[in-house]
Amino acid sequence: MKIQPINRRGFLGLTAAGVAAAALSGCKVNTSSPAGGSSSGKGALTIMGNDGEITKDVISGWQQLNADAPITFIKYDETRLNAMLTAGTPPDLVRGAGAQVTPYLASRKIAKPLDDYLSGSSLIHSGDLEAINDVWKWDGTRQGSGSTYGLTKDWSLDMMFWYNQSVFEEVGARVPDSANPFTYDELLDVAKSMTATSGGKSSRYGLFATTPDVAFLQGMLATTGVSLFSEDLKKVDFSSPEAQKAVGWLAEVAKAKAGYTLLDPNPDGWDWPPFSSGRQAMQSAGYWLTGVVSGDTKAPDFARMAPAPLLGKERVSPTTSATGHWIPAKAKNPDGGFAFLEWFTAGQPAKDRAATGGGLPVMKNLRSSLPAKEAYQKSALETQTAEDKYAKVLSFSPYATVTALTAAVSEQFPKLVQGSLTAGQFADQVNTKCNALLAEGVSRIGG
Amino acid sequence: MASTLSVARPVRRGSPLTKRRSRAFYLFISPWLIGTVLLTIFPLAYALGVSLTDWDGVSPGFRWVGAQNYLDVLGDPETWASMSRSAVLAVVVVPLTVAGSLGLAILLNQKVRLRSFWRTMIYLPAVFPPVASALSWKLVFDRDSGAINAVRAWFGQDAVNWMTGQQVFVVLLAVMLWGIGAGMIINLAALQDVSPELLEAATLDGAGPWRRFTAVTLPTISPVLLFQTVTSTIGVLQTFVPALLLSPTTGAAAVTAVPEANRIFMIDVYAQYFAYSRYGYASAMLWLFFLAILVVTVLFFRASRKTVFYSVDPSSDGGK
Repeated sequence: MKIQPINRRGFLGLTAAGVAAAALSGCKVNTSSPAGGSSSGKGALTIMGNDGEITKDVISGWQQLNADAPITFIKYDETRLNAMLTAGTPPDLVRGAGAQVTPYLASRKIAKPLDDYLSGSSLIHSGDLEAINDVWKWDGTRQGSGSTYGLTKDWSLDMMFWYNQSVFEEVGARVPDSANPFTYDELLDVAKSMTATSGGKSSRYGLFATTPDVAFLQGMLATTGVSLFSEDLKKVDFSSPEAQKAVGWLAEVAKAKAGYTLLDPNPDGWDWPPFSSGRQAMQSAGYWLTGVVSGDTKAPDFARMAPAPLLGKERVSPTTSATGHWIPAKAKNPDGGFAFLEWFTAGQPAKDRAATGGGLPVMKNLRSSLPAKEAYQKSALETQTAEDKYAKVLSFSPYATVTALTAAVSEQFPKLVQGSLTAGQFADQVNTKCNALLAEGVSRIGG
Repeated sequence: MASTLSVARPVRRGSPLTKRRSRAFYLFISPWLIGTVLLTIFPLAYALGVSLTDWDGVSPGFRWVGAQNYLDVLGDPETWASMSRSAVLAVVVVPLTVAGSLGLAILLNQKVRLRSFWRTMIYLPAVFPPVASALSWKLVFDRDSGAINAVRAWFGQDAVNWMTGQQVFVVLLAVMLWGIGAGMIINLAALQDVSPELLEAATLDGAGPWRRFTAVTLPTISPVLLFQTVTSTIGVLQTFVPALLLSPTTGAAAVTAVPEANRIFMIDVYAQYFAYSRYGYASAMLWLFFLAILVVTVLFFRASRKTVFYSVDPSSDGGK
């Protein structure tokens, strides 16, 4: 086909037609509401998320119901999100780990409260929401109460772990069960017996990868009844005996080389590749791993889930993520954002997710959809059900991100392991740095 | 040649010809001018503004803190530690790059077999994108599957984790010196500009190869060496991508997992921005770094007055 060069008149005509089409399209979008929920969501949506969660199938499912509410999907990128928030053009929906981000977002009024939307929703009834969604609540001083700032996609109790049953049998180790969880010391002892090295390389690690992540430390400490944070969340204290014990355990893991650590990081980036291939006997993950195990040929035979270990004496099993989505306060289309969120959380995508075991549904009515056909699925569900009663909402600080505090700890941690800092000096250094970051937050947002 | 100069008519300021020429000049440079204003001047000014606030990159508001960030940066021992690491990197890499590329250029300026092949092979790494170089070297030094540890194993040595501890600095040096071929090409061009007559005259005067090199070749190519020294120093001080990519982990945690040996200044800046959300503080760091590099550059030019020789004295107007 011969292509005719376009002349000026033709160009202007096409441009006018394009503008008119865009205008008409905009009018059309504004006249309909999306199907599936009670919210009056209208118009185009910009969503920043994970393409493994808001998949092409999810987007096309939404488009089939709401052809006039197109979605622009942006892969989650914190730097880009900051730029968009700064420019006043944030997405309509953003992915986030509710357990960690809620105090930070809510106290800065970056996220929109969803209470009015939730009270008017026909798909989501507050009584049908799992208590874990309380991680998205913030009342100005504590996490877990007050207004709701987001909805969990699905969740797990993240201090639980998976183990390779065959390796446990091989070394004759006790298998942890719901009634008898491991202590962290037991866990490390078992892991050491499973670790094998040769020529400076580890052919098998016993333990899962550990890092001095503030959320993980806070999860460990939850079993001692002590928090890293002060009551008003304005300070941390790494010098308490409990915090010293938790950090000391992580340092001991690094020294023993029983698992991947900051000093010997996992080149794969996460636990699954070495765990699934038998190079690592345990994986730090909650119930959500069921979905990953399902997709593997060998893992269903050996992968089993264990309760959260204990540092102290109190059985507590928190979530450190409860991943979901929130709506920025300055979103151009918050109604549309909630309409999608409502459908994604309680509609067909949520039913599909629950059936795969890729996480626990946040809607109680979907709990019965979790897979329990295979032995590992049944075992995981039983372990999870027994663990449910120990679930707890931890409180993080609104004054600094978990990322920032973790960075401050991570910088000093290698010196502790290598012996250039004593435990006391490490605590002092980390306290100084973290408390300076928190103080900056206090002066920035008041408190 | 003098007659050529004499026929050039002086152009009066404000004349239509001058105006037309000015318009044409500005029209032609406008793409560069617009780009510079939008992509250099505006971001610089914006960063200067941010450096005077306590903005965290997310909060809707910010507080004016004046020079506090600058004072905090200068009073922070970590600033000096990371700046020292950058300085050490420059002190090691710049001489090796400049001297190494000169040495290679001298070797490949000789009539040797397969000269073009060697020139191409040595220059080739310089056209690799920095990201590709860093990732390739990361694979070479990988503990479990890298070539270096494979060689060590062949000699019965245990595998070394090159990506952690002090040894990661060795990997960074390898990445930095990998592009030495770029300097070699520049030096090669400079060497070919050395006057054969002068070299011949020196030989006739009894000068040996070393004397000819120090008395004729080096002074002739000294402006090129100055150029390389200055640009290499600026480039090495601003090193960021290789150090970040050599972090043992990926994603958002990468910057906080960069081993201490590689926590050079730009890594520190990046961590302040994106790990600690201290946009004001990090902007102040950048501005202070900009001033430090400016001072270093000025010092280089000052020091070059007695060591660099131009065939035309740059301070004169060329005799006009």
